[in-house]
Amino acid sequence: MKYCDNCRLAVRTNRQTCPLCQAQLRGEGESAFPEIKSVYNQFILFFKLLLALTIAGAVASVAINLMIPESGLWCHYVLFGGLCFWVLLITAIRRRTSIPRGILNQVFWICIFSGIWDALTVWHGWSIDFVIPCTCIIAIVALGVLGKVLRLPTGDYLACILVDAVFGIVPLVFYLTGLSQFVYLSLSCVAVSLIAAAFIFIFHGKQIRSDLARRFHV
Amino acid sequence: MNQIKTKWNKLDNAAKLFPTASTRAETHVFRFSCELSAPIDPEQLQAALDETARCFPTFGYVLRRGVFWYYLEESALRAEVMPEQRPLCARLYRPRAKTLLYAVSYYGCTINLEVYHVLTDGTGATHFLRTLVMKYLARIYGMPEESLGYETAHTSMADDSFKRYAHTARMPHGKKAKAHQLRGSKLSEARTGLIRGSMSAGALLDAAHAKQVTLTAYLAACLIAAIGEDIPLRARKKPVVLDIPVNLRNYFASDSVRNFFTPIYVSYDFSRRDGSFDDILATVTETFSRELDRDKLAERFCGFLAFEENPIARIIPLHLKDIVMRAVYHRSISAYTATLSNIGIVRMPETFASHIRGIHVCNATNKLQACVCSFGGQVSISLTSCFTDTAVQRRLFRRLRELDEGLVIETNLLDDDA
Repeated sequence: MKYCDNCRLAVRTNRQTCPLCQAQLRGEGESAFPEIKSVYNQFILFFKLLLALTIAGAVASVAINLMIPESGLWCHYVLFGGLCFWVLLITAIRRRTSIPRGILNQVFWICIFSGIWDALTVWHGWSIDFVIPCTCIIAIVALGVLGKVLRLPTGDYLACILVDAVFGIVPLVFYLTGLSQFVYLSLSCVAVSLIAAAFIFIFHGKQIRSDLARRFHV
Repeated sequence: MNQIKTKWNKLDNAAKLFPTASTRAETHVFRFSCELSAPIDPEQLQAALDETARCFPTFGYVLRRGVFWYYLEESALRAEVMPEQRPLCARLYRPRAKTLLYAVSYYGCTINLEVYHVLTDGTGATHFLRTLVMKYLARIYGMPEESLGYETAHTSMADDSFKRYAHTARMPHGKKAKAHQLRGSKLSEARTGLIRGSMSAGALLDAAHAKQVTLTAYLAACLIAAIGEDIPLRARKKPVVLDIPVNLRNYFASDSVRNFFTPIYVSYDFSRRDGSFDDILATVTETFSRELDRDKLAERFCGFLAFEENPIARIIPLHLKDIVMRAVYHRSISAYTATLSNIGIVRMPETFASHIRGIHVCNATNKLQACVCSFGGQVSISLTSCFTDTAVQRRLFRRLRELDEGLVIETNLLDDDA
C-alpha cells in the first residue's frame, strides 16, 4: 500500500504519483488493475498509406492526363476505379463479422459497378449478360455451401440467400426488355434464384416466417 | 441450432435508447468486480461461468437490428473467461456483430463481470455475479451451494416489468433545463478512468444518520458539493444536476433480471443558494422525498413508454429512428451533470463471504459517474470519468476521508494518464 501525504490517503497502486493530487507517493505498491496496452488503431497506418496512395494516384493521373490531352480522356477511369476499390474495401471491412451479409453486400456493389463500368466504356452489355447473372448464381451457391459447411445459424444465411434470389430475378427484366443478348446465363440465374427461393420456403418456411416476424416487429 | 423457433425479446423500455446512443466513448457497459482472497483459477471460473450462464438464459442473447426496432435474440455463443486485457468497460456491442453482451474476465484475485446495459441493470448483474462467485467458490473450496434468495423461474426473470406496471402512456411535457457540464481534456483512446475508494460503511452511515438522511442522499450531497466547488463563478448560471437511477423493484414487485429502473434528477443551483453542505443536503433530501414516490416514479416511466407505443414512432424505419433517438438522447443527457447510482448492499451467504475481500461496481460514462455498493461492512465508491482532471474526485475523497481515516484509494489510471 502506498500513501499520499498531501491527501493523507492510502493508495493501492503501482503509480509513482497520487491519482488525486499528483504528489509523490511513498511506500510499496500493488495494483488492483492490470496495465492495459493500447488497442487503438492497430491497422491505421496501413489504411493511411492506402488512402495516401489512392489520392496521390488520382491526382497524378488527372495531372498527367491534362498534360497529354492528345492521349484522350482517361483519368476518370482511374478515379472511378479508386472509388470502386474503396467502396468494396469498406463494405468488406464493415461486414466482416457476418460472412453471408458480407457476400450479399459484395454482390450488390459488384452488380452496380459492373453496370456503370460497362456504360462508361462503350456499352457492350457484358455486365448484364455475364457479370450480374454469374455473380448472383455464384453467391447463391456459395451461401448455400458455406452455410452448410460452416454450420452458420440458419436464420442468417437463409435470409441472405432469399435477398440474393430477389437480385437474381432482376435479369428476367433484362431478358423481357430484350436488353440481354446472351440469354443463357440470365435465364439460368433466374431459374437458380427461383429454385433456391422455393427450396427455402419448402424446407425452412416456418423459420423464415418467424425470422421475418422478428425482424419486422413494430 | 436448427430448432425452428428462435427465442427472442423486444428490448425493454429503458434499453431502447442504449443501442443507438452507444459509441466507443460512451459504451453503456458497467462492471461488477469481486475481489477474492486467493488468485483466480481460470478453469474453475470457466466451469462456474458455464453453469451460471445456464441459470440466466437472457444473458445469452445477442442484439440484432430489425427493420423497426432492435431486438434480443437467443444465441448459441458461449461466454469465455479471459484475462483482463481490454480497457475498463470497453464496448461490448458492435453494430452488425453477433457478440454476447456480457464478458467475464479475471486479474489476480479479482473476477470482473462486464455487462451491456441493454441486457440488464445493476440488480440483474448482481444476481449473476453472486451466482458466479458462489459457484466458483463452491468448486474451489468444495462447499455446498446455497440459495441466494432471488427468483429463479426463467419467465419471471425475463419479465418486462415496465410494461407490467404501466398504467398510462403519456408523453412527458415540459422542457428540461440544461445542467452545468463538466469539461476538460479527455483520456486518450476514449478510455474510462476509475478512481475508487473503499471505506467503512459504519462511518459513512453514522455521518448520514447524524444529519438524519439516507446514505444515498448524503453521498449525493457530497458529490454536488465536490462538483460545485470546481465551477468558475461565471459558469454558475446553470444548476448542478445529479441523475440518480432508482431501482423500481423497491417500489413495484418484480423478479425481472432485465432493466427496471428510472432516473430521478436532483438539482442544486449554486447561483441562487449559499452552497453550504447543509443547504445542499436539505435540497437533496427535499427532492428525494418529493420524487421517491410510487406514483411519481410510475408517471416518469410511463412517460418514457409513450414514445415506444406511439404508432407513428413505431413504423419509422430503424435507420431514421436511430437519428431521432440519438438526438433525444443527447438532449436528455444535457439535463444532468453527473450520475450517482447506489446498488446498495450486496449480500452473500456467510460461508462464502469469508472468502470475498470486496465487491465493486463502476459504469462507463462520458461525464462523471459515481457507483456505490457495499459488502461486508465496506462501502465501495467508484468514480468513473472520461476526463484527465480529477479535481472532483479529489474533493470528494478528501471529504470522505474526514469520516474514515482508513479510506483506501485504487485506480486504473497510469502515471501518464493523470
